[in-house]
Amino acid sequence: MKRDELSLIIGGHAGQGVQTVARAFARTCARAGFGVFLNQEYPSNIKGEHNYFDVMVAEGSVGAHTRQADALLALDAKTVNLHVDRIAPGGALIFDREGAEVSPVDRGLKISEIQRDDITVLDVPFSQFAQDVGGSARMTNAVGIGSLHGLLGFDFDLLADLLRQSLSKLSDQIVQQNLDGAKRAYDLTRDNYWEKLGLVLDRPQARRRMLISGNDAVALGALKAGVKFYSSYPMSPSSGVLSLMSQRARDYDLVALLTEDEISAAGAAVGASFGGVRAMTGTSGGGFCLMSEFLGLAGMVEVPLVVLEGQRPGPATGLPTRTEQGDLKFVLSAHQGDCPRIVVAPGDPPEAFELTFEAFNLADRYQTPVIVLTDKHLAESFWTYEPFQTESLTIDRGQRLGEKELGTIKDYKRFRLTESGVSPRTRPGIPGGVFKATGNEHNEYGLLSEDARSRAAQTDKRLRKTAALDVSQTGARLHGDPGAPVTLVGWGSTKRAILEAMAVLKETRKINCNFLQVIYAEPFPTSRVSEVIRDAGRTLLVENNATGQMGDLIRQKTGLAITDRILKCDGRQFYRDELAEMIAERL
Amino acid sequence: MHDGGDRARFDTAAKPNWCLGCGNFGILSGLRKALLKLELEPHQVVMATGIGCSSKIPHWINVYGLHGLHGRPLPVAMGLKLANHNMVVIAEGGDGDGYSEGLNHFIQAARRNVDLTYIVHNNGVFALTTGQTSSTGRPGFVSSSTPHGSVEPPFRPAALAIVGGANFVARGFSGDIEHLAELIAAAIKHPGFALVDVLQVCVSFNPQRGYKWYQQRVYKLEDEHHDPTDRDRALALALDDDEQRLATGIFYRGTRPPYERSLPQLEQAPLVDHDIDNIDVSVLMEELI
Repeated sequence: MKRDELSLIIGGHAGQGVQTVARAFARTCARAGFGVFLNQEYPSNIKGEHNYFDVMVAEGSVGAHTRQADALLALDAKTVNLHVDRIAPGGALIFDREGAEVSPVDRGLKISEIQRDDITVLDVPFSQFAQDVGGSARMTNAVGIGSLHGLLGFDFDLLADLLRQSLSKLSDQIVQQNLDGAKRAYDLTRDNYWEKLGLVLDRPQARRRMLISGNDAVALGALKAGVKFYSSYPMSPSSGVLSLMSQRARDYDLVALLTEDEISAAGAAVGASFGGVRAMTGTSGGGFCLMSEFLGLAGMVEVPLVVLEGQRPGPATGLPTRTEQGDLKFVLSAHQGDCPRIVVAPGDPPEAFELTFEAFNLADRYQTPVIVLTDKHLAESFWTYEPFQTESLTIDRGQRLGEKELGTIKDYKRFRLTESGVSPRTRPGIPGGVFKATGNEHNEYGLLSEDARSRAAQTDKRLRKTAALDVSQTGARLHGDPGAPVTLVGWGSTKRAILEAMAVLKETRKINCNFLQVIYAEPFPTSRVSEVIRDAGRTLLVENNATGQMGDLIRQKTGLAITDRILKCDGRQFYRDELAEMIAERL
Repeated sequence: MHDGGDRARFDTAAKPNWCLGCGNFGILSGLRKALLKLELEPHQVVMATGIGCSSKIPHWINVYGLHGLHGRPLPVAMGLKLANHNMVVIAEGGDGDGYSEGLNHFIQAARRNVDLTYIVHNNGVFALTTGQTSSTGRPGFVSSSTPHGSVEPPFRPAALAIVGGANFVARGFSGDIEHLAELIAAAIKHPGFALVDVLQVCVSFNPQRGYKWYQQRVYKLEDEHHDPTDRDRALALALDDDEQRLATGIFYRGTRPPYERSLPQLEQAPLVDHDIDNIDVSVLMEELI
């Protein structure tokens, strides 16, 4: 029987090239026209520790992984022990029983007895095949992925292309050995198990689709917005954006700068923005701690600043390579005094692209910091999407004055008190516009002033700006049937897991839910969220953190408390089947 | 370039609120004179400063200015210069600002070598917080933070800059305005990071080292025919602990090209002049397929 979707796990230890083949496999499936989702689980370690990758492959679209998998490709012994329970009845385990590799950090580890008579165990001698073709243990990943391709009945040519591409830095001889080893494994599983097991997908929809991560989408959005300056200090999960910006700096004529620390990264971006270009900095929660003084400065001197905050579990170093929605309250309140800001939380790559692009327009229009809040799950997972539409995106740099406009103004006041709170700005280098900006309280000219009335007026002016931003339509989105008896409430990267859990609940249990996704955390879509929650039957909060930070924010803004909370704080994203069960249990 | 006629073009209506006799007045005069000497216009210059008495200086000189955070003028200045490398970018602050709070930025700026001038008002004391010993304070200095006398040796900022990789390292004295103006002008003209460490009198919190004390001890390196291309000699001078003879002038001048010259993306025009409408990212999206 053909299926419309398969769930696969590929695991091994760091240094085995598991990530390389998992990503390449995902890309191959995407190119073949399948919908793909890739979740990456890896430790903060370079060699030896366990890592694994969930790959969902579907005839149509797929965006969340399942706890139950159809096949597990185990490239080392530990992977078998850790994940064999996740194989669905009727699924397959592919591993090398005799020659299974053991990570140096797990010396002496044995494969536990496999007590599953409801799965097919495929013993594929990866290391023997590698030796047979004159290769080494390093080729296990290629041989292993060969067996997976055979099991799924994919064309070997697809795999051959993939291997040639991902091994392009190696010698022809080594590439050939990899191909030969992969072919042996491919033939074994294809000839013996493909049709028998029936892990066969329906024909894909065969549209041209990107395989794109949240980090890719953020970088694309920033480049499209004309970012000219990206300063950062490496920190998972945002380092990928620094890499992308650095790689593209010469093609897109921007400066990508790795600074000495996050303070400097934020400071340089503030300087570049004050200098007149679109500037951005990126970090995770730990780096954001250091950036917070510049966030306050940008708010005080009314400089546009876009900040990417890719969350990971905290406090302190926490789980550096895992995921959590734990910094919402932090980014909303990291500053002294009352400081204007905008906080947006994309839920998937298209939203990450659009909201990052929009963040630059908002920063310019309101002359204030805008935080794009992602997390590891969004930043480093991959999904398939058709190329984004960009025709409707237009650059809005807000109210700016050039030499000509300044010439018509007798007494230029950079921080003039206006009704909207936004004062037209100019930039260094423009004749006739010389002004001061200061992190101290100041008057309309930007000169130091401790005058009580001026202080109150300038504070009101700064806060007035974003209060005028109307997010009643864009700030929250209700997915699904508006009349559904159950409303799930969430934000950020849980979006796809929630949407797919809803589909599972509808199909398997006839439970009809809708999903209120909060997109703007500041300013907050208070009226929209209140209205949806008031009209809802049963309301369930779903968050990837320990305390329900969005739930608290909703209560703070609307006065409405969501008491039913499904929370997960183990550093991992919800599996969609797990989430569906958690929801069903509450109803 | 200016015709040189308007000698008051860098003056402001607002007057400094520094203590009477503060060394900052001399540094402000030296800076104004340097900008006049270089025939610059107000709009061609931007300053980034930190926090402290000295960091308020942009308010009293007619150029673009961002009076920002304690210890952080250098990152801001770096961003400013890379955004618009046609500007003259000056970072300025005190010794607490630059040699305590912002020390990492200082050494990294020396290493990275973005073209900017860094003027430090070095008086050995935190003044705006009413007198604590700073990291350039002398041993034995009695202050509110060291009631029994400081036991810490001071940093040697000129030596730190040289070791960090700076290619222009000078020291001036707030009581010799003409000489200071020459040093600042030379620092601005130097392509790359340039430090002008200024021995500054603090009449309120370090009065033992007043104008007379310094005047009896400072000498000019050029009068002793120091060769500023001799880095070893420059370092030895910068490390000299003899408080009875204080060197001023250019310690070291090298020829390392500035950071921004390595960036082809800045060759055609400053970033700020790039057109950002209709940037095409379709190629990048194709690559993800």
